[in-house]
Amino acid sequence: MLKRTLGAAATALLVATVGGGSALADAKKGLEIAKKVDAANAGFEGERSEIEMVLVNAYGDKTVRRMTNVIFEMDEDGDKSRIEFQWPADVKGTRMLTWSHKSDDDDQWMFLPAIKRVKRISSRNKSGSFMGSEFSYEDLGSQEVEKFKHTYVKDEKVNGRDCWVTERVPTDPRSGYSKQIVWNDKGYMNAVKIEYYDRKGELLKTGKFTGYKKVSGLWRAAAIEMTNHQTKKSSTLTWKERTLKVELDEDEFDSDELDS
Amino acid sequence: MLRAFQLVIVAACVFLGTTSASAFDLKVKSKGEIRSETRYFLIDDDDPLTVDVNSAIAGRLELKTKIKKFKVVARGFARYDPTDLDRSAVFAEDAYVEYKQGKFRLRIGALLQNWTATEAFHPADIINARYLDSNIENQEKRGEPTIAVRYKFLDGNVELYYMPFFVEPIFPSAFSRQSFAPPGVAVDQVIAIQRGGNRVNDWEFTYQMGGRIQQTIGDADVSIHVISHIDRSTPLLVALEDGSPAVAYQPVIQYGGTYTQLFGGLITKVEAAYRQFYEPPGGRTEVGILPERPDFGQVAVGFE
Repeated sequence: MLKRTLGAAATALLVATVGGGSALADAKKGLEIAKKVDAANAGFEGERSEIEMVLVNAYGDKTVRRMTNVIFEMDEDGDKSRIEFQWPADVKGTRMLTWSHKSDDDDQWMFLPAIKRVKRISSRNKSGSFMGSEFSYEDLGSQEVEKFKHTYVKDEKVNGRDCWVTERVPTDPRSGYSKQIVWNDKGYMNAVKIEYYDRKGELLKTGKFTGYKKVSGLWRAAAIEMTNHQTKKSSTLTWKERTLKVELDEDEFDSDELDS
Repeated sequence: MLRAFQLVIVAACVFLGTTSASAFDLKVKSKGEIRSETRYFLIDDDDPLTVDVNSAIAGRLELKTKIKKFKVVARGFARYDPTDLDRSAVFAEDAYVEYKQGKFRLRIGALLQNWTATEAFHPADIINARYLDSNIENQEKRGEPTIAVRYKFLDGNVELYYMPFFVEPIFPSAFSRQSFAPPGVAVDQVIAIQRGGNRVNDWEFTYQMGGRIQQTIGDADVSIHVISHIDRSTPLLVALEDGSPAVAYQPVIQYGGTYTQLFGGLITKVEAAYRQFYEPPGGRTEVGILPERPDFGQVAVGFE
């Protein structure tokens, strides 16, 4: 009896050690993959792009939004970005400035053109919808490695291309997601698919990144389609024009420049 | 002087808005809005002279272009109110040329400034004469003729202003429920008293200057300013030499600032100003001896 108990305990300990060791290895590999992908996309210095966003409701009705986006790459912290809405007319001229941070909440300001007012806004409501789309502020913000806990899951092919599949859990307790499953293409060194799970652990949305091409030596997706499985709505972001390695002045990303 | 300025603005708008701009290979960006407005006073004042229900069309147009390091901006506002034609108005909000070089920026022309941090009360937002018969929370503003020099440092800037002309507010019409005068009486004489006690009219030279510093410090946005100018917010009723009434504005020195701080998801906003009225020697002015005005301060606090 004692022998059997001891044997069972030894087996359980062995499984736990190997399993635990395997979990640690998966976490280490997951983090390595995230850092590799991050490093492969670094060095763009500055980006200017024109973006079109098409919102499709559950009945197939479409709404179009257009914006320009300028990003300044920061070495030690998250990037600074400035979006200006071009269409529709009721939001034209509205600008949003974001200073992303690796470990703190992002700093954000909005410029309201009718009254020429710059106001600070809270970035805490990350799960809020961006411009009525299926993209949340969290989805579009700078995806710093430090903002997640990464775990390697497996290797898998997507559309015939080799991918790492990792699970990442947001470290911010206010995130709208309990976890995300990311398929990172080994060639593009970028995500081709991300599944977003809500706070209850149910699949909420899937993002598909398509049309990859090299821009100034870096792979960038031409479009992201986000499908909400719960509401049956979808939104697509398409880059109409994109230029990397643009020389930008960091001063342009101060809040006092928003009304310029 | 106003006539000349208006001619320059109209010429700039025509140039920017027509093919002249494209002939010089200029890219002109434009945006505008047009809206219908209705205003209804719930409590009737039982006065047949006043208008209790207003319906108006208002619009705004902005044109911008860039020529090398220069930027030209023209922005105007117009309101047409057929229920009270005297309430209709057209004026420039922005009409300036900007030059940028490194950390310096120079702007010359009519500028629309917004120094506010709060939503309903704006003690620190004192530049620009208001269109007083508009939305009380966010009144439209006339562009202030200004020479502004800005230097960027750290996460903000310091800006110095010289405003050479007194620009009077646009007062409510004689039939408006928002008028300060008795019904049927128009406020059509507005003057400013200069430091020496002499009076100036709309768009005449006067002494106004100031400075402002803005900085972002962590989660906070801070600004402080000192302005010596003709106060546009606390008028006096005076009698002119011919006995006719006029609204008079006096010179003040204002010390003020704004503070916005993020505490987690809560934004705290504070706006404060202290006004020190300048009394001419012996209290004597061109329109007689004015009553002493007490200096006062205002603070507005908000949470979002």
